[in-house]
Amino acid sequence: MTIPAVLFNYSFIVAAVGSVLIGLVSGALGVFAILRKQSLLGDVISHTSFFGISAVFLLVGIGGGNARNLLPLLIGAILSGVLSMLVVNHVNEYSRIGKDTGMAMVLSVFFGIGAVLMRVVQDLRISGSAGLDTFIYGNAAAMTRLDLQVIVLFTAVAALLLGLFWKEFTVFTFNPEYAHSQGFTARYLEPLMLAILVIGVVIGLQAVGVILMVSLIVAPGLAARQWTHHLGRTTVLAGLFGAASGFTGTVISALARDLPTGPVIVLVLVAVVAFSLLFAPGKGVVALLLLRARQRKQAREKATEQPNGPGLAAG
Amino acid sequence: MFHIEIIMVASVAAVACALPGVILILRKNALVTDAISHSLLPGIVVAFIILASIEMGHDADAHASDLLNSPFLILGAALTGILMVILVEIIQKSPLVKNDGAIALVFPALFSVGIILITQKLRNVHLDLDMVMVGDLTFAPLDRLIVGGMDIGPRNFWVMSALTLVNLLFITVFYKEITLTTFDQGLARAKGFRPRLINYLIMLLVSLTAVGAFDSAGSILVIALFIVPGAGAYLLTNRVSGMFVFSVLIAVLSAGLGYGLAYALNAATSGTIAMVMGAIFALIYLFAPKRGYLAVKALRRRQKLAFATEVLLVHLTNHEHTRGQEAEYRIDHLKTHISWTPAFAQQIVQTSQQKGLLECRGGYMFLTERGRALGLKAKELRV
Repeated sequence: MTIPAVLFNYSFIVAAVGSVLIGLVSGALGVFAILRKQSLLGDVISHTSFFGISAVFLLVGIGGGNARNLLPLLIGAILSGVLSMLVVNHVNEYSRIGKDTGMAMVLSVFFGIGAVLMRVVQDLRISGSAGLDTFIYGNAAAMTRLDLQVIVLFTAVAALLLGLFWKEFTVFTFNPEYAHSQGFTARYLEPLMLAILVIGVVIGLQAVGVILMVSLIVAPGLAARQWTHHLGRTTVLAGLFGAASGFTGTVISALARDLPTGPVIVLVLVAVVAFSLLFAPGKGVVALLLLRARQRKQAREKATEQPNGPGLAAG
Repeated sequence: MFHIEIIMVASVAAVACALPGVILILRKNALVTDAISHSLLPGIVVAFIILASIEMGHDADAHASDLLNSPFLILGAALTGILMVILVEIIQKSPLVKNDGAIALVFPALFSVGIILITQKLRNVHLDLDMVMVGDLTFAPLDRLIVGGMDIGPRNFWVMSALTLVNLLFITVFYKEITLTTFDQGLARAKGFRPRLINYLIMLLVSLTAVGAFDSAGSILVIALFIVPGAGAYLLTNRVSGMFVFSVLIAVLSAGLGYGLAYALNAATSGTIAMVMGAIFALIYLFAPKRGYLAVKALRRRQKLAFATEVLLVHLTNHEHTRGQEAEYRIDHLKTHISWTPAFAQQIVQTSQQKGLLECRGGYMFLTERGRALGLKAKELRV
């Protein structure tokens, strides 16, 4: 079997390295979101970030700059992601509207504004506006070296935050009351944890797109949890699952024609989760079935031994 | 005529979605629209491909929106919504996957299958990737419903009207069941109302309506049609029936204004409808009487002042005729004794003075007859 030439292509290597980094960061950061039962928050943030991306694209484009530059786009995405959460929290605090309703509203309304702004961008014929589609369904192949540098930067920031606040995040996630008693107040930790989730989301938008990004946040962590109970190991494993899926998805998408990277990466991830749910030692479905069969057999053996045992002699 | 027809289609689509949306908001299950609308895509695509091959042989692109409005497609695709709900329930059985995690796992997977099917099987059809997100109303009036040789209007208008009718019927027939299972699941189960069945029926209705609105709103903006009108209505009334009425009004208003805005900006109608809905909600959230932000803010402020006044009066009655009175009655000592900021203390003292609860002389406070009475009463109530 020969390796297709596409895979030695410079732009493919850039895309593959980018996808691996993205998978690593999103997967690792997503673990906390899963543990805090905030999986769907990732979906809301990714959809609302489309508003920020379109707005920055429009502003930079009108200003005559290079609208395709990833750094301002991601900063716009972060700002609109954070703004949407502020809106949800504000509405939840001052009215009886629940967080789920608030989240559904910002998700669709911010995305709607983004879609309208995108149409304006296209009408103004701002150069590179075709690239905006990338952010919807994801296209790793469109990644440039400059994009890669931005991704490396975000990876470094995420790793730094995670390293610095590991202890605080852990305590706050598993026991918020205890964290509070130790002086780690929710006032600072809540926004900080939101910030790392937002970074985890926006970093992957280019490869996976706003619609499917939630998968890259949630799926690696779900798979990793099946294999270990240890938080550190779960995080590392989730990062590795994310990276491996990012790489595999990019390869498949590069080899096939007209296949957006996002959906392919998602399906690879789902396969990883399905495999983990089925075959993980101790907690997987197969392991549980085997355990049950073994217990049944033991019980049956005991039951057949019983008649010759002391019970009968006494009777 | 063309404009009016588009507004008609948009309004009736918005109304059809707003009705079940109210129920979802009350059940704190609004995000399920996100999951359902994304999960429907593979169902829509598969049903589309099957119908196209049955009806038109190889000519799949001829009447794409004909097929999208076919009752078979709507029913078939709605089943994927139910499939999603069932899959989530199965996955949740794993001890290590929580409800939201299971949802976040299942719907992107289904959506991905849909996208891949579209890119591989339906390259040149009306059902393109842009439409999947936001839908497209521009062509809605071109697809007519002809009955007995008579043109009776855009087909999607009738489809959405039928769905509105189904939703209305469901809500009126099962009003008691819906409200009971929503507000008190335990009681509903005890009374034999089968909350699970009701839940499945609601999910089925949401799926049907979302497929019908797919043409006009796509899979993301349909969430706005479902949730935003109901959320606005929630701040305007305490009655469930009132919520249905207000949500329908908001839906129709947004559809009309949204189309106008879309025309002015040359943008997708569904996007502008979502924008207008967001704006209407923002206005309601700010200004709604009793339940809006400003009203709640003013209420909390009043309560804070009233409570602080009570605290001050209790403080003064406690120390009246005691050895500490001299120190406790000084205005500038409130900072140390009740740990208020000087400005806040000044404000409370001033308003209490205006209400005739105390008098100030030379930096000292003295209770009036009324202030003493109120302070004693408050003490009795609080202790």
